Amino acid sequence: MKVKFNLNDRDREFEISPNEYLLETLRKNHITSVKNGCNESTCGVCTVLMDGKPVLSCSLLSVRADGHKITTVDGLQKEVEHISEFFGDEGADQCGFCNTGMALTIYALKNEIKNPTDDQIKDYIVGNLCRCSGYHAQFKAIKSYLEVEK
Amino acid sequence: MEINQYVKAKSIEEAYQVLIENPKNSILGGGAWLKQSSPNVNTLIDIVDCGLDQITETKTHIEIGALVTLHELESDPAIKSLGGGFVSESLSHVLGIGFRNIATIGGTIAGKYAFSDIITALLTLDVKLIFHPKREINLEAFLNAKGKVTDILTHVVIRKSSGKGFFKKVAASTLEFAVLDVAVYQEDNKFQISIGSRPSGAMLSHEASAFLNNQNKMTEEVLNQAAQIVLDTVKLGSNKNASKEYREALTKAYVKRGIKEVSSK
Repeated sequence: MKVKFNLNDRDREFEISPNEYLLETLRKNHITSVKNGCNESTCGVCTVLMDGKPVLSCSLLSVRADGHKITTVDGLQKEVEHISEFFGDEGADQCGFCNTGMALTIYALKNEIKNPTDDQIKDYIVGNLCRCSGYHAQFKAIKSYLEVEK
Repeated sequence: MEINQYVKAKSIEEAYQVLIENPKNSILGGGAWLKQSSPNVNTLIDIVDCGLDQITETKTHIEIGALVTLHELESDPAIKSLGGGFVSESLSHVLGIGFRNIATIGGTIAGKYAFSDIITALLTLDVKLIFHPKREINLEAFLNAKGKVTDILTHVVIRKSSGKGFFKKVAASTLEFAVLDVAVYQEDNKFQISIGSRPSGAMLSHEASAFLNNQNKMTEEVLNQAAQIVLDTVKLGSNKNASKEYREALTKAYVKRGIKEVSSK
């Protein structure tokens, strides 16, 4: 079966099976910035934006993307580079595997909650795991980014 | 998980007609748990175009469409203010936001998931489920009913109330399923106590409610007696996450804490 959705500002059509999840659809169509981590709704590395909201592509059936706007880091390069600068400044990067999902979640946070409290920031990113750097440096980077973006 | 075919229904009635064609046909909620939990599906019926994604607030009730996501629900002002925010609190610990933007309230309730935090909280409130075709049932009766759900959950209706709620999820780490969920609600000195992730599904202790409803003052002795009644009437067990004894200790501590919290001015 076919689904149509807008991927990174381009209308695209994909051939899928009914039990296929968006992560698989994207990766087999060479959108490899979307990472495959736990594949069971926990780690957050497969995060994409659907109509601006972060969703786990490993847990969203591709049929449910039909007619929606899907954004990966490839469609938000300037924003993501900007976020990366703050991560670099705080030494919050190591292997980088979690970065794409994390960056999209942070971007969505900025748009959804104006002036978030520390607890709101932590609650928002709790589903994006990082196994390298710990979370303190990332938290500081996110705070600095949100402060500048006010 | 295998899905032979997918149908996007234009109306709930159309979805229902497809559903009853074959016992292996199934309604799609959020789909987030599908690959972990579902057996093979003949026809997966999507009700995404049936207008079930709205939260409507009236003077007396909050009516939630079955396809409202858990994050939409936790962020809704009416839900946030209910019982002092304990329902929102129960939703905010369900994995990460990327998951809560997919999982739906209808899928969660229809799935009767034993580990569900939100079901534990909702049980303490007056909650009615609306099914298509015409059926209304309260949440507790639905959870206790045996057998496969053969109709379609369309709305969850919560009666508004001005009481105070308490919710506690105990888990080994933030993203893990609860070892135990405890919810307590009090309105006009009428109490409800619900225990979830026992590890079986959530249930109320009506006996503890009856006991508390007859007390004038919440002394330490009353709290201890209420907690003991909960332990006597709600069956706890062991699984790989926690032993029965550990759950009993948690239940005692958090039931007492919950009663204290909802009783305070």
